[in-house]
Amino acid sequence: MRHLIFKIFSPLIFIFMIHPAMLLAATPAEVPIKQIKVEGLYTISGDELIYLLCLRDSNVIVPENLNRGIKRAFKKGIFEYISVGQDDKDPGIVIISVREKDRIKNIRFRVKGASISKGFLEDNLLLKKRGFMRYDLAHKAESALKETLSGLGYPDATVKLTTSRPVKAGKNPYLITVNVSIETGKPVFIKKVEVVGRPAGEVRKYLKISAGGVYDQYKLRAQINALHAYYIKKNYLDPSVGPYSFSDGVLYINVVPGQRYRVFFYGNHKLGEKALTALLPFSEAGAVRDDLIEEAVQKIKDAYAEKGHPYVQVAPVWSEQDGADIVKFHIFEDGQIKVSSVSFAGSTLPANSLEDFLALRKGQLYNPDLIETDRSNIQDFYASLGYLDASVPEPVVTPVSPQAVSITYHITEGRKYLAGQVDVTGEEPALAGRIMGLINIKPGDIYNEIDITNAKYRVLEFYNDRGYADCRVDIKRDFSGNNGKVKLVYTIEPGQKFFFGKNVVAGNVQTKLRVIKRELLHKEGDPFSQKVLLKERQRLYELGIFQSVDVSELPVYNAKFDTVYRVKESKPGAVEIGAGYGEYEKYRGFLGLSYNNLFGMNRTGSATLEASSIEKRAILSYLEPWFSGRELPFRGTVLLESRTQLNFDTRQISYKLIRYSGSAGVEKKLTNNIKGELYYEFSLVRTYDLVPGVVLSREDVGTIAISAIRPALEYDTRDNPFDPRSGVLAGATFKFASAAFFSQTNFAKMVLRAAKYQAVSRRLVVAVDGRVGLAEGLGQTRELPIVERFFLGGRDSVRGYTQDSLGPIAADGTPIGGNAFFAANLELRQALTRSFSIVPFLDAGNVWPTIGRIRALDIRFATGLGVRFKTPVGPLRLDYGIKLSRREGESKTKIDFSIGHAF
Amino acid sequence: MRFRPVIKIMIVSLLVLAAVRVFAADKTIDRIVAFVNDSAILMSDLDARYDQARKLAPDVTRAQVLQTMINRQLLLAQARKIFPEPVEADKAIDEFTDLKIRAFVRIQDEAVRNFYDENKKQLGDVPFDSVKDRIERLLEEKEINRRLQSYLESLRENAYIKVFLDNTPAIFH
Repeated sequence: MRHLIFKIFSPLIFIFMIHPAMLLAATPAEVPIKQIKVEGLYTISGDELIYLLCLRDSNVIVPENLNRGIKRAFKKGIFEYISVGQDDKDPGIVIISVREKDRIKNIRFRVKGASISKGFLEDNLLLKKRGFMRYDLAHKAESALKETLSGLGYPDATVKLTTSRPVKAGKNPYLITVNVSIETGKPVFIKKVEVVGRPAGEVRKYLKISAGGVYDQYKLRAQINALHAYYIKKNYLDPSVGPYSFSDGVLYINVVPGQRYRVFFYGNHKLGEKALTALLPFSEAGAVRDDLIEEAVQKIKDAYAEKGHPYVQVAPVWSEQDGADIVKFHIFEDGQIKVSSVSFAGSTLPANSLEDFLALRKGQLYNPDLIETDRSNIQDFYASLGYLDASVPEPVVTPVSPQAVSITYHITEGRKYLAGQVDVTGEEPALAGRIMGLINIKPGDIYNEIDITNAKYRVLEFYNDRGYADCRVDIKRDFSGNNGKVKLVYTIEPGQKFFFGKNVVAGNVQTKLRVIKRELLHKEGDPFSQKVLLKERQRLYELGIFQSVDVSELPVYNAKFDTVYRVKESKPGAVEIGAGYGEYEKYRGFLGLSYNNLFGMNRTGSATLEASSIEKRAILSYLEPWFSGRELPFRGTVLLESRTQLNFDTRQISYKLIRYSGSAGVEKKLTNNIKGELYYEFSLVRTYDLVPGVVLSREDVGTIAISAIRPALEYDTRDNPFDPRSGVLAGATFKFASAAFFSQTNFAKMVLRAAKYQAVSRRLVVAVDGRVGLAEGLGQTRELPIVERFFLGGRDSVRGYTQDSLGPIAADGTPIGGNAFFAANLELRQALTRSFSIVPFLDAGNVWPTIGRIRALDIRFATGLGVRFKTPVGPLRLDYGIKLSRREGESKTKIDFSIGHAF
Repeated sequence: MRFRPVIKIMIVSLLVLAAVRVFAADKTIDRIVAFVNDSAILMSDLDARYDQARKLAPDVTRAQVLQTMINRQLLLAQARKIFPEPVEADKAIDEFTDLKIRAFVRIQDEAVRNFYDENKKQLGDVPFDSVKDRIERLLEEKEINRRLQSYLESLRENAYIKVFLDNTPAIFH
């Protein structure tokens, strides 16, 4: 039977497997291309391949273009073979045959014997999931994994690697599975551990490997490193842990801690022992030597000089005691010296303009190491003002008291040079005016090398942006005039003009080609510009779906550069989970799922579930960054919410609310800093179990449909939205609900806000914020429904007060919100370390029932102190607020915990 | 029933092979004959090089020419790290080999003398000083070639190279 099967199948296998003899390249018959057939292509579209091959650029095949096209397509990184030919019978039919590289879709491990985690095996396998299959590395991968298993204590392990390909029609045949079969064999056990050089008990804390255990060299090496680190920490100069050997079940480990050293400081009052010890080079060098002690002394002196003690004496004493090096530093501190005055002899410039360039100014600590930098800065300043011959020698430093010195610079200014005639040669005549504008140096201007060089770079940039990538600009300076005027000649050699060729996009596995192409700012044939490439790279990064974007050019042809965009995709999915505790909400938690590359189109979908003792909320959100083919982000959100409002003091239920809400709209970046939004919102709100005092209108009871449009405008110049140090955030949001949109309530609402952030020093940022909200019922509506009214108080508005507690209250004390509010905040964000900062704050604000009842005297104030701990998503925040306008029965203070700044 | 696995394998093989078509017997205009990492070498390139090479060495084979092209590609990739565009490819390779290999080759006087002593008769018994420079250059070139060969071997070991000169891969369709 088996023979029969072979007889049937063998000829078939032979027919399919046989390869034709080598086919020589032929000159294409010059017949118009009628049809293009593509075979073997699965990962990208035929159109993309044809574009890369240039087969539609002319209606016949041009061999030179085809040669370049195949090489260009190969840069895509997914092919291992491409062939282009003509049909034998009809040369008008072009046939493209490709073989893509196999990509590893799955790695399956089958382990017999010991239990080894899949993660460990994946980490130690040379071939990686989602990577291309390298058949040439398969054997190496087997050997390397076998060696790893041997290191784990399984020296007889066997590893066999095979691959399998999907056989179902329609499946991508290049997505293969790598099967790794492992038989670990028996482990090798340690019978005995011999520590050579130190008592075993001394090292036991770190060398935990023991008799009876598997001889796992990975664990052993980690323990050896830990023991080494311990000796270094204990001031051993050059500890040696290992090498180790293993024979007949006995593990031998050599441990030689080496020489130990100890350091003592005497007479140091201005600098602590920890700061001084950090300056010492002994541990790093692994020795105590004369030259290292000298280096230590100099470093100590420098550290003192920085603190205004330039004349400190340091006497080192080196001895040996019980086999250890003992180094004693006797420090003779002098008094702190300050600069009492700085003067400039021979200068016609105002002293304060020169002082701006000095580190050693009046009142500063005197550090002689800074004198040369100051001198050089003054010299440069003079040069920038046209005093090219100015001489600024080292200043005279005169002690005026034991604690003060005066510094005098004796300056010889020399002649002041000005720019004379400015000429340009080599530019296109039509561009003469433009080039002179870019140079922007006029006769009579101060001769300034920086301005002159900057002008050159502006001209270069101008030409580079117009495709002249090899442009050269030389400047000739003619000092021969006796009037102090320097003639400048800018000579431009534009060189060849280059253009953009085709674009090759590589590395996009999930992401569709058009998502990348729509971010590109150039078309084929546009002047080549590096600046454009840089902007494109930035745009691709900003999509948030790539962890790296590399842009490069292929060798030039016909004055054209093809551009390769090589991207590496990030993991598109994220899970966020969190829990917290609030005074009002008690326990709360959230779970967030998001995916930012839906269908490979950079669309984002997210689902968030939030729950606390008083609230349950589910939010589904969808973002399409290019709505209807234009760069117009569209966002749609669905919200389901169930909330119980409690009286803050008694925790009695004031009302309950269920809301079903959906919104959809577009956002548009109008300029770099201004963004506009237009959303439509529909909510069905059911309010029930209300205590009588909360009800202001008929809209507050039962179910109501609110249908509204919400236009908004935002101006944002903040340098970092999570932790701004400078910039402004201002905006206006409007909301109109009307029966015209089938709303059961009519109102208009407006919220204006402006915040300013300003760093006044490296560690201090002043932040100020103001918000105003006004609302008015329209038509039949007198009062806004409770879900649309303004509430204030709590961690993001007026701290020190309970959440939403400011403004009108019901008879039972429940806040009922109002139609107008004002809030203002001032924060001084003072950094103490890189991660920690303290924030004194002053907050003010209140809510009024109607616009007409706004009274400035009603504004309530709070102050307090906050602590911030920096994290990548913004600071963790703890605020202790103190009410300044406390009313009877209210608590004095309140603590709030949150993430992110208050504003 | 012992042959059941065999049947299974055969059927699977048939399904795979049925999906595979051997490269079409059409008139090929151009195709990849080899690749070195992310660069392809085409049949049209090979033909041009082969024609040039035959003028110098009529017995040279296409396979030999292709191997030299692969070596050149390996060297060029390294050279471009130091001499990027617009430096011409040949110049980049020359400069790179000078920097990476030639700069480290030193021929000792003793080696020159030994070569002279061993080949004195073939050199026509000319005085040592008259051929010393030529011998030094010869030994230098030999050493450079040796080192270059060894360097290329190390590059090949770490490169991903595939050759489709006499064989072409099966195409799925």
